[in-house]
Amino acid sequence: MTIVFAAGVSHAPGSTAWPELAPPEQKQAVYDGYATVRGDLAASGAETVLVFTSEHWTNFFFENMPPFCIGRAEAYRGPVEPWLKVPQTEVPGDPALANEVIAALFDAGINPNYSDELKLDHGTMVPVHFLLSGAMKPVVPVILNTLADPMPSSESCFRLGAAIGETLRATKKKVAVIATGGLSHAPGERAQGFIDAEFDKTFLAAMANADMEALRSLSHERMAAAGGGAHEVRAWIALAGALGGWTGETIAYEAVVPWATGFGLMEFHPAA
Amino acid sequence: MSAYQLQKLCRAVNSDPVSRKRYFEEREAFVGGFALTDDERRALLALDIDALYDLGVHPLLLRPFTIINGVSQDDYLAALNPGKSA
Repeated sequence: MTIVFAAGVSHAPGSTAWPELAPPEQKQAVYDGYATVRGDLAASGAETVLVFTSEHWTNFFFENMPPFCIGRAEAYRGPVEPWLKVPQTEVPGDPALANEVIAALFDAGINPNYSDELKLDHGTMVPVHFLLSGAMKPVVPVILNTLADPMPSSESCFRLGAAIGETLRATKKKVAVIATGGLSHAPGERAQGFIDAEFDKTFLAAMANADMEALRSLSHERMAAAGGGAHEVRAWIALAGALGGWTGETIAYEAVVPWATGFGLMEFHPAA
Repeated sequence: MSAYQLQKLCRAVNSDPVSRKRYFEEREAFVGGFALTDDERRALLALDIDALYDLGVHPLLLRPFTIINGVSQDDYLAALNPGKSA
């Protein structure tokens, strides 16, 4: 049918693996925010969930690194990280919708990889855990390379999202679209724990205002300066492409130092 | 220097149980299976975290690799010379 729900969410593994290290009020704000998104997603009547997401050397490495890979498996398993404190879960796929998306992208001159076997790490399993546990829906993962240099530009991610959005608006199903990743964080780096709150504020404002120009031109260097993990905001930029002008409402933003992440939750609605 | 082989080794230890066992039980032979430069080989065998970082091992490969080697979060960050830029 169309896109009935859209949100952007961070997936810092500390939110499930070591939640107690965060200041209690920050943890509560993130958990309450995720509960709000979960409730609104459930109320939307979405039948299936397309997720713009990233991964962390789980399926791909430099011997074969796709810029974009669309999962069309019947089912996925995750998380791969035993320390994440998220139960091992079978996540159903939606191969029919995935095939529809892949075919439409090829027609549009955008050539993603596709895979019938993807393992899900915290990048997808943290949002699945908070949003779908106990109320599981089929998921179509769209993995963007936000990890290995060089990686697709903001413009390229935006165009991918725009073409997928066209397909979703024409499909028979009610689809929720989630972007996950970011915001500022630098896991494993010398700067681990540094959070570029100014980057996060500017980025969330651009998403909220559907400032396409700012999103499409966000440079690799600016993301890199906000930490290696900030490259994951490419998933949000793809979402902005898919939504074609929906505006956003911040559900929560917390710079959680013990989770080493600027944690953002935002929902999107059609412009009035 | 791409550090491709060095990162490939780290990823194998991180994610492949057979490689991990070989890394711990017959390290020299296992490491010999990868085309490393002398600097890479030295840094790897010494678990010189600062050098591995500077040689270009991705932080999300290096941190899990050091966890498997029993390095705590505090020790990891202390080993990375904080005087350098990221």
